[in-house]
Amino acid sequence: MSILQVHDVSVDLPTEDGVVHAVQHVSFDVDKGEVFGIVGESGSGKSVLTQAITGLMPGAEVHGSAVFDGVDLLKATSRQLRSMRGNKIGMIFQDPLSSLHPYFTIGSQIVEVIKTHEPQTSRDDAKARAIEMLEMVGIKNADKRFNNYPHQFSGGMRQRVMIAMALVLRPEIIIADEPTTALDVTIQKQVLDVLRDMSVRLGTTVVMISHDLTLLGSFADRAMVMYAGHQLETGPVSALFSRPAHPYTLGLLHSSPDAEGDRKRLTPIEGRMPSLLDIPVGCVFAPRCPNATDRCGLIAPPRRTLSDGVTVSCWRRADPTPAEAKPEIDEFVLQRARDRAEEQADGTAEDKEWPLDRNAPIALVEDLHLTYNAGTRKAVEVLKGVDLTVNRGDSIGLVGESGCGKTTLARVIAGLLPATSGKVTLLGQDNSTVSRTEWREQRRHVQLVFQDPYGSLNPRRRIGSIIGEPIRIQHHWSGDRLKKRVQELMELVGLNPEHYNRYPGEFSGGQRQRIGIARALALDPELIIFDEPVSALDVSIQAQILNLIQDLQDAFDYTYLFISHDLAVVRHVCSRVVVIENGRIVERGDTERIYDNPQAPFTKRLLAASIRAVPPQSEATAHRTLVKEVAA
Amino acid sequence: MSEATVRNTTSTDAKTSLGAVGAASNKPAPARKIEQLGTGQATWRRLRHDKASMIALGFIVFLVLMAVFAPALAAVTGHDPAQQYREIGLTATGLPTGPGKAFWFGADQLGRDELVRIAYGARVSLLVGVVASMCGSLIAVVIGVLAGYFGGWVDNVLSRITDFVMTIPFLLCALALVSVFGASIRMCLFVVIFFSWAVTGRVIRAQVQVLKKKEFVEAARSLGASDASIIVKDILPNLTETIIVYTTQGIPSCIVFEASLSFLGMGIVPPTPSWGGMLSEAAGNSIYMVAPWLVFFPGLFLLMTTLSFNILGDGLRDALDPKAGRRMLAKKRRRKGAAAVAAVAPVTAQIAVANDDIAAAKSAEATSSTSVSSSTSAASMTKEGD
Repeated sequence: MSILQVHDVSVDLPTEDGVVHAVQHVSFDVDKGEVFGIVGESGSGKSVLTQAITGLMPGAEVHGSAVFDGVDLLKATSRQLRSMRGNKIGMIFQDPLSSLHPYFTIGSQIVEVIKTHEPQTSRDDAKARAIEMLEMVGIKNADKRFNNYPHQFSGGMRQRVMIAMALVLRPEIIIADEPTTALDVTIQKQVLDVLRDMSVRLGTTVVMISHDLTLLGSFADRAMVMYAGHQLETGPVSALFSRPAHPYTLGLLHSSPDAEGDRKRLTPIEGRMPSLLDIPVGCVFAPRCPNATDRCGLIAPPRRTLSDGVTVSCWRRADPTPAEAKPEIDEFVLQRARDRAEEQADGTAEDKEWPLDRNAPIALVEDLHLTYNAGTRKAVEVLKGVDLTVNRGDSIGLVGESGCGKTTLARVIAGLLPATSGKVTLLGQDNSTVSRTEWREQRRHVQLVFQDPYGSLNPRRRIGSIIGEPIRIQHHWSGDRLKKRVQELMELVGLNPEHYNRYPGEFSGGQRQRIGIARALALDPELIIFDEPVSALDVSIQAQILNLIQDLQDAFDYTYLFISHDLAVVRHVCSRVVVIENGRIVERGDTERIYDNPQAPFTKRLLAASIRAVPPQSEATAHRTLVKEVAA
Repeated sequence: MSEATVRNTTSTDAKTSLGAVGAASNKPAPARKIEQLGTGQATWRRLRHDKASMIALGFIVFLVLMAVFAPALAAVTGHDPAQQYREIGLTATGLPTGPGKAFWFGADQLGRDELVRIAYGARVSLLVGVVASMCGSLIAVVIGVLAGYFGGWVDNVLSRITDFVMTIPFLLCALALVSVFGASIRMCLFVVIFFSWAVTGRVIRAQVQVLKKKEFVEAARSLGASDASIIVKDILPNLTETIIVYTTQGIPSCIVFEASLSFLGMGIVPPTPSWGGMLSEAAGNSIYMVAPWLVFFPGLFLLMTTLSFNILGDGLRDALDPKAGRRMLAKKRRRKGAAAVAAVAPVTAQIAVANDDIAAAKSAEATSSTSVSSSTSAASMTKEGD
């Protein structure tokens, strides 16, 4: 029995640039008691859809119908909707810190929810119910913690409080909008378990929005895949995973870092999402689809229903085939870059000025300690004795949760932060003894690629100037020589060299990250430090960047230090992995060994959280047939 | 560069990345043409849609023309700004004649043409306003950037100097200085500049502190860029909007400063016409009681000028900001409803920036509203006279 029936919903958002067609003709049913997932990359319209349904987006023009509990939510008055939200429809949002009020105790906030919807409840009853609920979501000593403020809880605990708050009125349905995206991987799993457990115990229906298809694999019963405002495929999660009917679903699965084995190349979905300002003529995915035919670009595909409960919008009747994983760098671009590197190595001997021992490790870290605000009452010890050796040609993955000190370690190795005690030797030179001119010289050999593709590029400088900056500073090149080199670099990382004069604002996240990589490559550094280079990117783009990073190393033997919170990502780039917990290295070793046979309990937890189970194929899916076909 | 250089990913990327508004390239029909606008063009386009700003700009252009062509105006009316026309400008009883054919804006108590004097007064006002505001901004940028970028004792010293300037009572100090060194336009400029940079300096310092922590600054540092290079290439370009907006909004307060000084007889030396001085003369002997135009016209021009610059500054701030699109939508959202926009622009990284921005905008609003109120109060004060 379906509890929520969404039929042909479209959402248009008026903006300064024109009307954004955020959601187009989406229909789905959510059955009572099930967990229904909505998956899509950023900009796919998944959040807009649920917000429009729950009436949280009054500025939008919404068409269609969404029947919940006999009421069409899209035609309900705002008063009706308000009484439903919280009472019958619970909500959980992405950021638990900003969804809880910092000036009130969590207890009073939960009690307030109860009192708003059930004014006759006495304060004591409400409190008892709140405490009971908090205990159910796994908050220990709930009666004591009732009087704590949100900042006294960790991120995962805060999200549990949010779950408790959403569930305290026993709503029939909960809408969770990326509830675990802001959390560490290990915490993510716990929170999801709580949510799943609660849904089973209370019989609550859960609609969960996520950008991560593999996350839903172990969590949801059914899921809907959205792309650029369109619904592409809907069905049981096991069917989506084992026999994806739409090329996009297949592409998502293949580009997800935990999809393939060790060092195996990911197959990204080429290109990027189209603008939502235009309504596409044919299939919205056609420009990126490896299986596209002429018809796909001209006529919108029909919606097909298959016997195992899958509906798919695609012209293709056979199962889609995955795209070939193409090399990210063109062969002749690569050859030219190699030639240039050789030429430079023969021609100039300027490298010799630097005390460079070719045989010494690139970086040697011995018993490194770092304390912020050392000597004051606010002192925080971030690194507690770290030893690390980075040899030439290594690609080392530094893995840990947020706040474990991995980024700080990278900054210290790069010489951007002084160590409190211990020794860091970079290219045979102790970091604490370098002079000012030597430091500048050292910059040639160590480069960083930053996490945030938006913050790491100056919005007021042209791309050519950003990528050329290191060459300008270090070699004092200018004019055509600089421009030629910069354009070579742009080609190398897969940017169009004609975009030399554009500003960063005109590029997407993935392209910006390519710009960051080009800047890091400009000086042919000995060591490149990647600080979570893909964590801000969508899955399909993430795969492109990971492949690029890998291809560059294969071609030029760069030495990498790759920081990430995600073991699955590291596996594709690194040959050795170092696991950090609370400023200490708890495990290190070859990537395969770590994955096959983790020793430290923390590594085991991390691994369990990042490698997710894939639901097996059901009998119905194996023998699926076409049930009906509705033209769009 | 042959076909091979334009590869699959890049070519699709290239097509869709034209401008922030990427066109969908998935139709056989020619894709929507997106013009790529430069910052200047985009700003102008946004500003053009703002009626209040355009009216304000119109008035400022009119005022500038009037100041530039003041001698022509004198020629047309046949009246020199300093010449006293006692026969036609004053009645038999010695009172000034009102607005009419001979004197469009009336004559003053000495029989001089009010209109011509206002036109010449505009020269003084604009000169002092624009020059003082620009110099003030220059000082503010230097001090703000140094204090914000270097921090530590540099920041301590410079911030204390800023605090010091802000605590000095403006009029008292100005009067003391002028009475010691004598009134002149140079003195007047100096005093106005000295008191106009402090607030802007603080705002710029705060912005630099935010910018300094951005990853692109760290990136530049990790490349070995010098402090000077970081300041010039990375910090300053990102301050452009603040500087333009604060300079524009500083002009009216400088004009009011000058008028106040002149009103008190400490600014521009007569017989050079200035609006403040004209108001002061009108107040003398309560002549405005019989000749209200002596207060009305200079007061009106002062009010219109300050108001125009303030409105233009406000409009510029909205138009210049690259996130202005979001802000405009935010206004709409307030009217229409919740998270529509938040969902369209899911760039969490920029939320922090937006917050800074809102804070900056709020402080800017606060200063602009105070300067508006001060200008209007100055005008009303002068209208009420003694």
